[in-house]
Amino acid sequence: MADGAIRPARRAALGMLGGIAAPAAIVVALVAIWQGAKMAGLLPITVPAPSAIAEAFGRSWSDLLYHMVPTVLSAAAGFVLATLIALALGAVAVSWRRSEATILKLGIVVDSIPLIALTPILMVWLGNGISSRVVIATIAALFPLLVGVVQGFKAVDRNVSELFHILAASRWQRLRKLAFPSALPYLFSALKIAAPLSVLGALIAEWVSADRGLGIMMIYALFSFDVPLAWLTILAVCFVATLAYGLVALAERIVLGGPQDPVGATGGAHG
Amino acid sequence: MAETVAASRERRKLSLGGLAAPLAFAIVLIGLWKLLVTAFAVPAYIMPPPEAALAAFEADPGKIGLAVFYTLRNAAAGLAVAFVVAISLAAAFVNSKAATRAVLPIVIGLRTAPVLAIAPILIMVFGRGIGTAIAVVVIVSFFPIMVNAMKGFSSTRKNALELMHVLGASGAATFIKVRLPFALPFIFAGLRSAATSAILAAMLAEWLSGAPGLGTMILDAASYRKNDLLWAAVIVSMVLAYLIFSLTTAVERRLTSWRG
Amino acid sequence: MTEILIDHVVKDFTIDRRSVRAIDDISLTFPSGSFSALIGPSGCGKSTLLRLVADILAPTAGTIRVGGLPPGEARLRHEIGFVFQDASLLPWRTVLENIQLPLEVAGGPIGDGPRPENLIRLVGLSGFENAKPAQLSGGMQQRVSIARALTLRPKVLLLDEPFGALDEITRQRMNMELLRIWQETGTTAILVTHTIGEAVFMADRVHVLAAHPGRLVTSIEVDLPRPRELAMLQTPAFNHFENAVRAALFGDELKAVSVG
Repeated sequence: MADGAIRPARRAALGMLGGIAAPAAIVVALVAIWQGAKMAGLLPITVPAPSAIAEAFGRSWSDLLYHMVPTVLSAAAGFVLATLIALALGAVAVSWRRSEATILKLGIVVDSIPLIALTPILMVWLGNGISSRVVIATIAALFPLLVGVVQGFKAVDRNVSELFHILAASRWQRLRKLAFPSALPYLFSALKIAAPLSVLGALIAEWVSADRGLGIMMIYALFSFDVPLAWLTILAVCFVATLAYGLVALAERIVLGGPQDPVGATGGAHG
Repeated sequence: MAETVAASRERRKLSLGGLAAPLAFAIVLIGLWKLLVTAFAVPAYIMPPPEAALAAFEADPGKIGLAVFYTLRNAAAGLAVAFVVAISLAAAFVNSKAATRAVLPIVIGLRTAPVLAIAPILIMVFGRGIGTAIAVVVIVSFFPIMVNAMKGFSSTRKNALELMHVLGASGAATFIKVRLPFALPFIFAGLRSAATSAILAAMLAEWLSGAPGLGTMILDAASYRKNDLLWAAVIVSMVLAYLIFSLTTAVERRLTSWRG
Repeated sequence: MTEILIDHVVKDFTIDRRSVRAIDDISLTFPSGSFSALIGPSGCGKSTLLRLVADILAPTAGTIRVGGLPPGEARLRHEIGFVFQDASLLPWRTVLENIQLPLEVAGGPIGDGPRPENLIRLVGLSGFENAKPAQLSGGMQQRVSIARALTLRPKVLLLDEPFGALDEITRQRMNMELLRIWQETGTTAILVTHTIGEAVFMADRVHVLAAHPGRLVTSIEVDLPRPRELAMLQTPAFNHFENAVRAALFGDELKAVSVG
């Protein structure tokens, strides 16, 4: 009969992404294929077998840990700093409506500055220490956070807002019981985007100049053509970024009781 | 679809305003810069005066122009490849429930991963040519476009799909007449975000690989302490990024004006 | 002749891996050229029933015939017109372009199908041919949607709470117009509604459904003369039918109240 009928299941397909089995299976299969292809001699010398990367980890895990610490620290500091700045700017933008467009535009300008263009100048200004790397991590994470905060503060339902007016709620009650809770889902989805970005910012800063950090370890491995080690450092960066994302997602789950995506498609991360 | 006179006048005013505001902003910024440098007698290695940067630009506009050309070419080529691949994949996936379920989480996961971090691997694997620079741009731009396109294609209103079904429309007709237009705002959001990061990716790839372009120019200027040239190149790259952002925004507004 | 036949139809949905029965063994006949109404509380499956007839959903068991054909075949012959609760217009198309959509999909008019210009006149939208949906009121949008449903001269007109979102006054006007259009086109119409007065005013026969699972309670013949006029709303005969439908909808609850 009606074979062509649209089944409701297809419509729900995107809603039911809870299933982790299928993607996990694909990842495992890819790694297996990778190993197999390497063993069959199909891959160039610059692509090591997964097992070789595991070996490199066994060989130099203490080195990896040593270099991971400053990367994590500057990324975390940048992330926190960016969140505070975004909250402050967002609060100004929302409570003083006329400033909103200007603040967002400034955010766009700062965000469109290629990070690597800023890095050499910041290095001159702030020196070669951790402070310049923190600043770069902050800039890398700032814009999505700013957008999320502003959207969140503006997301207050109009009817509920009128209800608070009728209840004669104070400014503080409004903020605490209405504005902040309605902003939280937006804030969290922005935090999830920003966390890996701050890691990337720290990494780029370390590429330019650092004597300790995953970025500089990566460059050394590259120049000494230690292929498995180069891949290992990159995996380590991805791991740190994923971990950062995971921690925020976990916090979101605890605070909101589950992932929410109110923002929809507000552009992606700036890889 | 005749536009009323009032509407077109309104639009022209908007586009003029859209150009005037950043220009004024830039002039104010340059004024502040000059003021800062002279008032505090800032040494040139920390911040050269605006006219020094301008002089560096004028001394060899061809060199900077060529660097801009290389960077733009790499960014544009990478963006184009990423766009075509991402849209076709998203269109293919959105018709298959199983594929969407398996692939979308991976794509979303990779979108949040710092894709740029793997640029060194690409340089190692593909060597130091422009192919590598373009490849870096492709992988960076691919995920935001793909994620947004998939969201867009599946954001089509249910009733609109049912309508096409009742009309007996083919899958292709449904895609062209309904799914694609509904997805356009999403696709452009992805493209806009990809475009700015494409410039960054192109510069980084040049920088890491030593291929000619703005990225290499900035790095060289920094390491040879040619501070005036450094500032000139940095400002050019900022203007470039802002122009690309504005351009994609304008195109997006034009193509999705029905959203009102 | 386009009679619609629903024979022992069952429809199950799978929600959270559990099977839920939406429609439990409903059999109904809609005579050719008649106007019928389906009324019932939410969850009674009235919209689902409509989507089964339109081949948007497939029944779990039982058979449906539209003019002797399976719904899928009737759909592909463009014999079904469907009007959704929200107008479901494509927001980037003008009024005229929205009405032309079925023609584009079908590759041209079916037989001596009505011209879009005439349809616009039929639904009273002359002068709004080039307006975008966002510029129209809810009532006007729904008129466009009705015109679109009539473009391919369907033999069956399925209406899913078409005026549910409109205010009472507009709805009454739209209902009068809908009856006029139905009589002019001679289609077999099924109206899903949750308003008792609307069901009685519009239909030759009102089918009352109950929820959880959706099932038929009773069918009530509305023996009011045609054409229906607003003045009829105040007649005892109209009241009588309204009460009959109300009694079927509320059953014992109603009796308990009248005793107490």
